[in-house]
Formats: sequence, C-alpha cells, structure tokens
Amino acid sequence: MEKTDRDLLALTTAGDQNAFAELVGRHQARVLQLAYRFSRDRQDAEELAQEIFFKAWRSARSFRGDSAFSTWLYRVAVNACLNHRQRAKARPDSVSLNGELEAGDPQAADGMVACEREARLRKAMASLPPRQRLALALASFEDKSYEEIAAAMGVSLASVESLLFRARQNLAAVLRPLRQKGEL
Amino acid sequence: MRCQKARKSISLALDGRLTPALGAKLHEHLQACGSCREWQEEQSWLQRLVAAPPALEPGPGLQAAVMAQVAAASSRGGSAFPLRGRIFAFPAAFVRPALLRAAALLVFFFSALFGLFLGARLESSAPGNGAAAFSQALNLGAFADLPDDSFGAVYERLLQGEIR
Repeated sequence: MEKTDRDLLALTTAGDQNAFAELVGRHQARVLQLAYRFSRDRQDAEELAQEIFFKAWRSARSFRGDSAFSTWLYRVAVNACLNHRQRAKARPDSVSLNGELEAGDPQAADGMVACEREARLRKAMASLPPRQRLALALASFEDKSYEEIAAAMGVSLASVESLLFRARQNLAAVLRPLRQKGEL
Repeated sequence: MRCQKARKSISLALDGRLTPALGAKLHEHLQACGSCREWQEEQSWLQRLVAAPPALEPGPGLQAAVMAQVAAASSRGGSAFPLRGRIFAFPAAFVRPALLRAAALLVFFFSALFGLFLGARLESSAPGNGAAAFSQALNLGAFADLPDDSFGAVYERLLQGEIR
C-alpha cells in the first residue's frame, strides 16, 4: 500500500532519507512551478526549489499535522520565496538574431521571440517588491484563492487585494513602454 | 465611482472577486471613462502574459541535488537533524512572549528584593536610641534648663509620655 505524505514525513523525522526522497519526487513539479512563477528564471527556480525542499527537511519536525502536508510545504515555499535572493547575473536584455536563424524557420523565430518576451517579463517581475511579486505569482497559480494566498503569506484578505492591485499597477507601468513599441 | 476605485475593482474582477453590486458600478463607470477602459484592456493583456509562463518540468537533477544536500547535512550533524535545527525547532512566536514574560518576572523579583533591602537599610540607619532621636527632632533640649513647673517643662514631659 502506498504511504501517505504524512507517513513519509514521519519516517523522514525518524531519519529515513529514502522517505524524504519520495516526498521530493511527489511534490517537485508543483514546487518548481511555483518557484518559476516567482523567479521567472529556470536556474533561479531550480535553486529555489532545492532550497525549499532542504528547508522542509530541516523543519520536518515542526509539522503538527493540522493541515495537509502539501499546504505546509506550500507555506515553506512561500517563506523561501520571500527570503530568496536572486542571483545577480548578467543576462542579455534581448536575444541577438544575427545569423542564428535559418531562412524559412518560423518555429525558431517564434521561439526566440517567446524567449525574449519571457526575459523582459522576468526583468519586470524582478523589479517588483518581493511580496507583490509573490502575491502575483500565487494568484496566477492554478486554484489559488485569495483565502489561500492570505493563509500562505500570513496576511489579511485586504492585504492580498492591495498587494495584487499594486503589483499589477507597477508591472503595467514597467511594461507599458515596451508594449507601445511593439516589443511585447 | 472614481477611477482609483474602478481600477481596484478591475483587479478584483481579474480574480473573480467582484461582487454584483460593485460590478454594476464598475460597468457604469467604464461606460463613461475611456481611460479606465484602456486600463482594463491593459490589465487583461498583463494577466494573460503573467499567467502563462512556459512549462518547466523538473529534471532528474533536482531530486538528486536535494538528497545530496540532505545527506551532507546529516553527516555533518551526526544525526538526521542537526542540533541547531532541534534547538531552534520552537516557533519564534512561542519563544518571544515566553522570554518577555520571564524577563518581566525577573525584573519584578529583583525590584522587590531591592526595595526590601533599601527599606531595611533606611530603618537601620535611624539612631538606635529612639528617645534621643525624638528629643532631637522636637528640639526638646531647649527645655532642659526650664523650671520643673514651667509650661515648657510640663510640655516636655507631655511629649515624652511621662504625663498624660
């Protein structure tokens, strides 16, 4: 019979690393998606996801069982996102297309455009204060209600409304010029 | 409805949080306000942009990296959970009020102790001969040379309790 998440966590606290490996396997996709929506960078997302699981392992004994394991892991992830310092690395703001496209390769061109758009969005998201960025990432995550966001971030519903409004307002202000130039 | 309220309502609408009453007011405002209509269109565009990141599948390296970190931490600590982790296992929300209460009790205890000590010191600093101190306080020495039946002598004896 397949063990539940709680069983695996109990085994983890008893020192069973294989049990924790199975927990990681079960939840890594969801955690990675959240990290990616927050950071908008693959490498940062993978580092953040690793950090989230390590923190979950270290604080496994603090899980009191009054919520689902996934909810508890979610809160660990939210805190990790808020505390995560993104690596400052030089990235090109735009992708050079010189000589990199073969003639008649529309799929490659679309890919490059999407890549560039994502890079610009990542940069704009990074300009937001962390709490606004996180609220926006959580709201765009599937099935995340204001109540769930409020519980995960430890804030009131009114704060969630305010964070989302300000995040959208600030993001629009950053991206508006690019949109008007047709670059997004 | 003012534009600021309308724009906040637009944000709520994007998340499906708009009440019917607010929705009606927003609709009425948008009929008349071109600026807010543009804002609404821009926000819809932004919503689509933010909500659709490319799918990111976890590679095989993520699980391996996590378990390598866990194994390294376990071997450093000598147990599954390092001592530091166990010591700080208590939630901060529990520790801080408890520490504050303990500090308040200590302050109260030592204040009381100090007060008792100070009181005892003051009492012991008073002259051992109470009668002499009493006489000194009332300057009864001034009456020392007066005749026994004088008012002052009688008053002195009255003060010292010799006569009632």
